[in-house]
Amino acid sequence: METVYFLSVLILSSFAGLIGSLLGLGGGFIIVPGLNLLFNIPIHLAIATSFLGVLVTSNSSSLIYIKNRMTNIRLASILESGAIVGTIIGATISLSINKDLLSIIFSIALFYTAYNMNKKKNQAEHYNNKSILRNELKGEYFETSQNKIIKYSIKNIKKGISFSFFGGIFSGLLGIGGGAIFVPIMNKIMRVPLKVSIATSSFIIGITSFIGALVFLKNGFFDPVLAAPTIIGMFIGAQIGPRINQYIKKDLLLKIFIGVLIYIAIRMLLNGLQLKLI
Amino acid sequence: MSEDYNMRKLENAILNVIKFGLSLTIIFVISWSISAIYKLNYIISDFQYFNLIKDCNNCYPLFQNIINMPIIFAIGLWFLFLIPIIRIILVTLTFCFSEKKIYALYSLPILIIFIIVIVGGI
Repeated sequence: METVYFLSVLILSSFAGLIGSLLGLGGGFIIVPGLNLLFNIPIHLAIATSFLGVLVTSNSSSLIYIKNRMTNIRLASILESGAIVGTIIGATISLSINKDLLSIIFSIALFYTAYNMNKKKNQAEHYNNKSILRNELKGEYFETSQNKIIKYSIKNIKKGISFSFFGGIFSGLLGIGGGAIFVPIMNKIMRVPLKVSIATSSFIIGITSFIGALVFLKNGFFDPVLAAPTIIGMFIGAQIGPRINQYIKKDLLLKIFIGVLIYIAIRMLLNGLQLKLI
Repeated sequence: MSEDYNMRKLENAILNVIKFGLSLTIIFVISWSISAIYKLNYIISDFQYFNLIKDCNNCYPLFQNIINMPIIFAIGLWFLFLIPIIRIILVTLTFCFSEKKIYALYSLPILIIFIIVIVGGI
């Protein structure tokens, strides 16, 4: 293994880990095109390596998010149950479906999500005491940027599970961690604060990426020379991202998230149309 | 015992599992990387195959692919894979023995699916 190659992949994956853990997306959306376009790594190998990296990012960032009591483990378990079934179904049918068409549909869905998140950006953080008492599934976290405890109640649980199932299908089909779907599901449908959605999404993608990694590993897509710097780099990046997340303001975080969603949507649209611009 | 106490215990247990698994993963992966960069072949190659598992042609593909990896790297990967498995077991057990057993209905299927994927293979 060459030192320059090792360091280049390490820097790329550190950046992916930082952004992925900051936004609860995992970082697969950076590492897959990065490895594929910058290092000429075949796409299946890049996806397999990405799944391993996302698994590390998820665990590494969860260490900090759980310590800060931002992750809602009950909510994660509920959504994981839908997502895991979807991921397996998605991974199983991924060989027989037209991925280009799927990429286009997915990109449209992401554009809509980004538009929707921008339009109703203040709605999710509102809660009242009546809803807290009425709903069993609730939580609270300490908002460092405002220096106060934020309480929230979780709504539309059945809808959330259904959407996470479809999120899992997309995750399995397209080889992404699924954070781009889980964060909007929690934030917009289930009315969970953005920071809790990001922390819980980081926790959930540990399960979907694990299943994805196993499926690819079983099919022989694995290269330790590529996986080693990815694992180390994403671990480093994922130690920095959650620490920034604590102090960053919600509105800025939302803007970054929407920007990244639009970037993923454009990339998937170009992939679907078989155009290679970025 | 209160639900909050149970959840705190669960969170601490998960944190410990992640700390332990991730530390060992990183130690083994860094060790292998150093040996690969400095071409310490006695580490990368000679330990790559054990005689016992070398001719494992009839193994389940997942295990076959893992045992065909450099052994130090494979150990690191096993520790990484153990984290979500132990995590799901801990979550399921906590919910099963808590007052709000309803949550076990969500985590139990995940555990079953894990077993099917790992042992049965999908």
